Amino acid sequence: MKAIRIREYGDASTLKLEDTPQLTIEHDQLLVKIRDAGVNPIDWKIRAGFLKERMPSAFPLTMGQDFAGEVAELGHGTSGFAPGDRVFGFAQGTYAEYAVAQSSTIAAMPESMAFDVAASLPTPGSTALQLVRDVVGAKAGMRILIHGAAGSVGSLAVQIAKHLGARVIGTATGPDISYLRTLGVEEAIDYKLERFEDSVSEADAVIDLVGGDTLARSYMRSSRKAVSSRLPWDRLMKRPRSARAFAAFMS
Amino acid sequence: MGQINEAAAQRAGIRGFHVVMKRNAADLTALAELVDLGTVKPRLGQTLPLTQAREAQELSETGKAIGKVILKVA
Repeated sequence: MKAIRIREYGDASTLKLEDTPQLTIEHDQLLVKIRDAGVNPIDWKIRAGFLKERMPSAFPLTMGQDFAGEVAELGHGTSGFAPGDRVFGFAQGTYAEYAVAQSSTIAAMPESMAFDVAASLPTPGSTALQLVRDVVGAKAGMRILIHGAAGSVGSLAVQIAKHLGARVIGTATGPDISYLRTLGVEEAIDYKLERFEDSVSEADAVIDLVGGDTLARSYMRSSRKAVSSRLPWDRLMKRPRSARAFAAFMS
Repeated sequence: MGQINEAAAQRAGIRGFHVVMKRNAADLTALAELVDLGTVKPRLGQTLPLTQAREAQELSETGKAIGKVILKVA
């Protein structure tokens, strides 16, 4: 089968289209035929070797973890799915014609959903949902400041937060500002035109999807909870002020 | 990515905790429902063929992508 693999860490030129051996599946696994693969920052961070200490890779490594496609084959003892089922979720090596998935990390696609829509969801959607629902605990009456609100995770986080009844202030820039307005944010702040500290006086929670000094600057205001998908921690530890809790969130 | 500095957190009088995204079918199903109902609209960007994986990752890496980059395999 065709697959995009790397044999060493490096820049995008390390990605090669190769003919690879047929995959075999084990107990409780499925072979899925990939239709669309979502491209996530974690993919190129793995490729570049940024995560090699925490998640060492075995080479050659097929890239990608998000997919939408169809069940091709079931391993012994795998239940809940049948060949031909339209599914989406996580698998190892989704930049390929086939990948091996676990039944616990895939789900059925709704009938009317397109493959590209489903493939866009697993990592950004699970990240946004768990950040907003579980870490921040979004609910009616809450006001949440989301930095990087127009990105893959941010745009989903805004919509989920609003769905759970929270009010959202989002930061972005350029044409993304009008996009944020279409999502129904209470306020869209262009971070290139104004400092968010000057216009946002209060938020119950801050979700930082930007990094740099953004979260530390958010602590200057009265956020009660601040979460970030971006570190470094040592820097933001210097200005904790009113924050009661914060979390590093990795996806 | 680094680790939370527990000692620094304690000194600052706040609680630091580490959360990792958990891959699970229940959340995937919840997301699919939200999208199917029209409550959540994913922001899709460019779709490229598998042969252009390099360009696809570069779009994500350079921050030039507007919306989710998708690789079309089949």
